[in-house]
Amino acid sequence: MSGDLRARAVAAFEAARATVAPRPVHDALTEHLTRLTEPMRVALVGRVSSGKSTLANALLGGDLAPTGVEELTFNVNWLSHGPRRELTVHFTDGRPPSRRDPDELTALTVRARDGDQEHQRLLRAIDYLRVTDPNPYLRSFDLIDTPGLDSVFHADSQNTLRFLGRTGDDVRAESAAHARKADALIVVFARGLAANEDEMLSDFVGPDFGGGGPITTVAALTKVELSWPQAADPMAEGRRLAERVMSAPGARRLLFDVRPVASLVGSAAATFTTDEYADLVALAEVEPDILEKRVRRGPYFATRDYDDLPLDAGRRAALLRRFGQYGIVLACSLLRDGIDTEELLRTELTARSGMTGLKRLLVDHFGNRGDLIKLRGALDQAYQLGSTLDLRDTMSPLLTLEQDEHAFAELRVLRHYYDGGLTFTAEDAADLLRVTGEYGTTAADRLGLPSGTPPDRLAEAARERLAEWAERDLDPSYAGRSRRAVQVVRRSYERLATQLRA
Amino acid sequence: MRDFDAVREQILTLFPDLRAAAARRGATATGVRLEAARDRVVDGRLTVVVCGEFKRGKSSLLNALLDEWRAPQLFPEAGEIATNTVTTVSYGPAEEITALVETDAGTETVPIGRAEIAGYVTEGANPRNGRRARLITVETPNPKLASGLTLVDTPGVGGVYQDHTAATMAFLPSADAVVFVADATQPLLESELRFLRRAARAVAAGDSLEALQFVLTKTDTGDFTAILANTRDKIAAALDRPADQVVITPVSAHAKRDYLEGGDEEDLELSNFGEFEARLWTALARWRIRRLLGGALLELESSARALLVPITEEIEALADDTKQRVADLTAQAEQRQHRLTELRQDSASWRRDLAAQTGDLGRSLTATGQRRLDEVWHVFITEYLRDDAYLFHPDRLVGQLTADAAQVIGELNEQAARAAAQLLGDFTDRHGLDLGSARLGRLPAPDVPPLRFSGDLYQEYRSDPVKRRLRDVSLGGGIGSTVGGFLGTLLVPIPGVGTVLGAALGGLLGGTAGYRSSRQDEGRAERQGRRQSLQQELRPVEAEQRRHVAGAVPDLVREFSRAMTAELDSRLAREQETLRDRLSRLAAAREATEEKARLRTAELTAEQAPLIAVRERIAELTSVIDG
Repeated sequence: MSGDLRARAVAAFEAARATVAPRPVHDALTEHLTRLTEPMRVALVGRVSSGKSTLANALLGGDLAPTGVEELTFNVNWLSHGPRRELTVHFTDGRPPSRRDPDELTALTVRARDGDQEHQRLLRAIDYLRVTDPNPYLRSFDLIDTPGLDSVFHADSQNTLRFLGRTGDDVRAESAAHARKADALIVVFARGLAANEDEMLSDFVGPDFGGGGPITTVAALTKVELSWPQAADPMAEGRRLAERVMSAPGARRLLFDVRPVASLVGSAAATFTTDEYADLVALAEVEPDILEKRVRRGPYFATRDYDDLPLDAGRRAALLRRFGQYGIVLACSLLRDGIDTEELLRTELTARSGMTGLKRLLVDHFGNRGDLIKLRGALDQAYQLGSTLDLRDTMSPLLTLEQDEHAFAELRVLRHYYDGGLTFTAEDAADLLRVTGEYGTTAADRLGLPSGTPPDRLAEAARERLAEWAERDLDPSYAGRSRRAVQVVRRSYERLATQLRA
Repeated sequence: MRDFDAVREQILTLFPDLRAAAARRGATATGVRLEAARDRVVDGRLTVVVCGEFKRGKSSLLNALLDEWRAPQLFPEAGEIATNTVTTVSYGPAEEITALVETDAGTETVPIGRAEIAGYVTEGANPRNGRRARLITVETPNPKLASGLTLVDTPGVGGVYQDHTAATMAFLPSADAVVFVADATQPLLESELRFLRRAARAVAAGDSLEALQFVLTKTDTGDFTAILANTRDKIAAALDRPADQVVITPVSAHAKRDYLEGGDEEDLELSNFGEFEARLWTALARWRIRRLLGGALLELESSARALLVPITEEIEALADDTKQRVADLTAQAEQRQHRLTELRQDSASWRRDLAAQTGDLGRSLTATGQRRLDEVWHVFITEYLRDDAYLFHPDRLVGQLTADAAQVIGELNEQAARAAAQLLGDFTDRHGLDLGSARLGRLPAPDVPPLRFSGDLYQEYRSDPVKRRLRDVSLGGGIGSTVGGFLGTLLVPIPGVGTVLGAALGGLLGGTAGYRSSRQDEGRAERQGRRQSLQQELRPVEAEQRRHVAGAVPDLVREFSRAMTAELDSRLAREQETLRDRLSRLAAAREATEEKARLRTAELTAEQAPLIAVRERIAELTSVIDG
């Protein structure tokens, strides 16, 4: 979305703020204003140990979030882009935020198993941990890693929900929390653990997650690698399960898409060392059947001596921890098939783990509409301020902004489309998604043409689309909401055509 | 397991000789009781209920336990989520599988092939259980099941189909062992621990805590020490037990399958199924096997004595030429005959006493039931209404409350069964109804036998294998009662009791059906308001539950009372038969000449020898299972 929209939005919020005296509405609007200039916030949410932290690491290609088999994340980790790796602790009890050594992250995130009282108290007082990192991926959006939603330690779930701004009887606390809530969600499912797909989704509907919808929600189906060796190709199995999730009633109103990921493989792919690469090369020399047989017996692979395996047990154990069984077998098979550099292996493993596809989806889906999604959220929250107080003058510039910006009309159409409220054909829908920026925001992206298409060809394409949609506008089979949607899309092409003429 | 099989086989070999002896002697009542006792051993079920959340590896565990690995599997695995049906597997000479399917008219039992199971129980082939499968019953000639093991696979614990959860909870107290399944790839969730707390309570209502077994599946993926410790700590905290008393058996069903396929011993070692089976059988042996086999030994012993006493008395009588001994023995027998005639009358005081005792039992169970419901509804206020997972999903909330109430009924049933066994023992002692069947060793009081005597018991014993009982289950009262009834026949050996339980369950479920979806679609409301309105709205559910529990108790007690009366009448009939034999032998002994007595004594000594030998074997076997 254009910088113009952001500028106009900032102006509208400033105008609104000017109508009220400081506190509390003034402060809330200031907070929204600040948010408009910050990157979009994407939260990872899911049940406990669904693999959120592993996914965060796989996305960021680093070990920013501590991982393990147990439920580990005790506090909300807010990861954002910054020139250096820095860690700041924010507290719930009003204490000022305190800067910590980034190496303390694990200690501050992971539940202290037998930790001393002092440490436990400290952990409980933490509101969230802010981590900055120069990772380029964080330029697209902030990533918020949350504790699980179903933890035996109830406090964790409370932390997640409070962070997402969804609990609390107290109105003030609620609106403050609302202001901090994430702009978009990555819902993380581990495969299984529900009666069926409906049940799986039901964790994410209802009061705690309602209202997001497909525009702001995508899902990752994690731990797909665990279906090996029962499934020879776990990713194919994962795609099948993902399709089943998306075909569940209501799924399309809740999620934009579900992508299967072998996140442990993805995380290892992003971070493996030269030594680990060498170890994999050594293992790839082993007869594939023998290697598979040994890897299948995970605990023995990691502890026993075998004449037919090269590395010592300790090194094998380390590989198993990092790559998992499927990761080792996959990497070795890639190496046998001719991959011969670290970088090639990294790229191929990342692609095979589903991470490349997921990352692209996130950038496309969230990155391209980031400003609009944020602004939509900010407006909704600002309107909520007005629901309890008479703020007509304050709301006026915001309402005008919403009225004037065509992007909001597009967003409304998208919502209706996802809600199943439009009688659009598959072809109509493809146009709708494209022109509203699903696959990129350049004119070529919005017209579905390759980048580098000459301007006159682009203009011509825009005119063609416009003519087609003008025809639809006359087509009596589009009625009611669908008809209004057709008009919005027509208008989008009109604007595009005008922009290309200029 | 092998121990159990061996002892069971040896016990079974004792029956033919005794029955032949009874037949030769015309001891019909003794013969009938022996036949019934033998059938109880043959039909005797050791029920192991496997429960845990979806995708924890229950199906793989069960397949691996049964050495099943060739497709099509009894418990379909694949990546599928299993549909919410209960599956029971037990031994049968030929494979027979039936699906109980709900129809618009009621229910229907459909015979199916093994390859069709997946079509009923997997989400892929039967999405959202469109075929309305409720129960899959499998009989299969698997040697691992030959000694009477019945495995019950239950749906996931956080499920949406509350009927099955309720049915499961109602029958957990009757299970002989419960296996709770966790896995090494995903720590236990709060919802599972909540289920575990309830399951532990249900099991404790029936048996010692050892009946609850824990396994950690999927241990083939890598180092599982951390997750094992994590699981142990959580279970310990949930059950309020020291962590070192929580025994979790790590297993790998996949390694077991690899072993079955490839024969590599290292796979078997990794699978750890040897240890799992050993622990399971230890748990079963601790209580259930002792009662099952102990009951058979008691019956063998009392039958052997019933057959032996007339002979030994006759020998004693013949040995005394002054005929004093025969006079004494005849006087004793006549005195006993007099007493027996009294006892067999319908007006006998023991019948009134039994009625009074069962009345007391009924009152005490009713009080317990209401107290347990107090607890359920206390938890409703203090926990459920504070939990968004329930507060905003009233269908789940009602389902949970229904499962809780079903559990109460199940606990009451098990308590009734225990109390009835105890009562039968005490009562027998007090009224002198033990009729020579001394207690054996330290064996527990056996269950009240599921005898179906009515009218003239000499003809009335009918062999009643489980399969036929399954078909006899009443199908009225809705699906809850049907599933309940089926499970009841498997888990509760008293005819009628399973049906009573099923009917009570059906009532519970029927009573809440109307509340299923109300409020479901409402948007977010303020929590306090919701709490108040739910409290208001569910008040009739509480009243309904109290009515059902109060109504189920008299029915239960009546069934147990019938079974106890049948058992006592049967014992009286046997003693009558023995007395007749004693008196006629004593009369003959009185008339015997010295020469005749010598010949007769030799004959009798030969006749009693095999009976004495049988009693020695009984004593040996008693010390084995009493060990």
